[in-house]
Amino acid sequence: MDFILAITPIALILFLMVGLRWGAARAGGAGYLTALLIASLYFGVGPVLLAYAHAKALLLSLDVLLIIWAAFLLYRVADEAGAIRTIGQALPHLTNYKGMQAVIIGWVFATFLQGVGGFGVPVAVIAPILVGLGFAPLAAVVIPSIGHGWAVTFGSLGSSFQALIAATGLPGEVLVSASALFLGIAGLVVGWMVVHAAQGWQAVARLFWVVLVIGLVMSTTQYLVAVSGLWNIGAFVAGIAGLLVSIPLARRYRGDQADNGELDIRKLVVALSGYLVMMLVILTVQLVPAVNSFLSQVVIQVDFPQVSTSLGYITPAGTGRKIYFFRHTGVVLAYASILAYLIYRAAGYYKPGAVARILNGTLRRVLSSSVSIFSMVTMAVIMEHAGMTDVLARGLADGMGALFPFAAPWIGALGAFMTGSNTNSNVVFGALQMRTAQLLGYSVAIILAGQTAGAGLASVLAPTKVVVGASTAGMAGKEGDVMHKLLIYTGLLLVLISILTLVGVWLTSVERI
Amino acid sequence: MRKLVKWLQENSFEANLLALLLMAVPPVLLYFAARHGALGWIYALLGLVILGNILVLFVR
Repeated sequence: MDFILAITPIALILFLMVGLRWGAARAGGAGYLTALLIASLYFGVGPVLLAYAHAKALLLSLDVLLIIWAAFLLYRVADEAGAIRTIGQALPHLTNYKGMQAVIIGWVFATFLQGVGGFGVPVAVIAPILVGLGFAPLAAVVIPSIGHGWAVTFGSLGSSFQALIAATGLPGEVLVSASALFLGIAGLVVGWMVVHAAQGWQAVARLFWVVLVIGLVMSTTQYLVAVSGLWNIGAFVAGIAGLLVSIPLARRYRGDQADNGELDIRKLVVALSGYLVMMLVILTVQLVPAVNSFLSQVVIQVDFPQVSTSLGYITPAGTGRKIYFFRHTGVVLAYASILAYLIYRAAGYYKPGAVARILNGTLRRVLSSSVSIFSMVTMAVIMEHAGMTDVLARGLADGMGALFPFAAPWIGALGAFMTGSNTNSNVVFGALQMRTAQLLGYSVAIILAGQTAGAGLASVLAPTKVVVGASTAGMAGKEGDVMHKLLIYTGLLLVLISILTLVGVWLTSVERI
Repeated sequence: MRKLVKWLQENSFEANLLALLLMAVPPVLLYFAARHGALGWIYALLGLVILGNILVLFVR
């Protein structure tokens, strides 16, 4: 009975989003209300505990939302200037061989776009470009969908990984290594899958070594950048490194056709400058001690007392999420957005009224996801304080036992599928997976790597992303075809992550012995 | 009631913005209310957050 009631809010969200096709914000609201009701009526949660849980959830939500808001602001600053279009149009100049075009645009450029924007942007931007290059509409949606999945966790300027940190309370340094490793291996496989989706097995054989080289460069770059503490630009730098390696390699696969017209190098450099500025600002804040300490002076830190339910479940006292406001990734991105805007404006890339359009577009795009983050984070925190997460974890530990490491990525994937995002999945399931791993004595870092990798890779299957991709490639009404094709590729990737999780758990248990 | 639901469905941006404010602002005050054990305030503020979550149920 305890288990059924504890799982009800999560099951309800799943049913509403998948069964009734509700959006994440509506379903999140319903999940929150259900969790509140069950926690109060059955798990003995009182008003004071609820008050503290809401305050804690606000801090966790802000920690994630600051990045989401600023990341999309930067994307809108660049998009309004035409920078995204310019970069996208420049890429087909490198090669006319379709397999190589799929690699560069559908995998490497998709990784870059996921690094800087996310939120479905890679598919929305790339699918029409591929259709324009002569790809079939189905392939045009499938290629960037698979191509960006491996970059989701360390993409969107690290918002999903930040959500995992926030939801579990563990330091990023503990979680980053296994997560980056799993995603790096998946990223390499993704490269071959992209080629397969574009041109079949023959092209996979032809481009085997090219994909291996580019994949190793991108995966290693993401790993090194992430473990050095700069996880918010992991996918972005990987995308840049991939583009730099792809350019000389593409010359070997130019194809037979004539090129695609004149390439305006100056325009391309200006288009990229907004993102180079971003990289510079982030690196300066992270790596220059004087700047870092100057910006660390304002800290949002709240102390929470110990609270308990009437049934005796205790949440110990502690400090909530600490936010160094002026050096928070979200605020640093806001600095970068302002600088990028000034560069594009100086280059004369904006039409009158651009600022209003940028701000309006950002607000409209992030509003609904902000509401869903607030609802779901608050739901997750209430469940944790009520002991519901603990009940679920014990149930899963008893029911799955040795199979749990294999199932962990699928739980993450389910969360991403139902909530539409890696971030939401980490918020909803992060603490649950951590608690279950602790109960079973498995490495928490490995299980959580399985959670976030599974969620990131499966987020491409989320109905909202599929609908956006299908509509931009003229596949509206044929979302089922896209979903079917994606299911095969994503299913294989999830099996891979499950095996990696099993091996990781086995290796860490051997180490302990 | 029907008019309100219709307004919410036709003005999703405003409704989401209102819901966001109802979810984001009261938790700040909830912390201080809990610190002082002000149960009346806690119930009132929780009511606002609940209202925000109910609002989004009607937004499409």
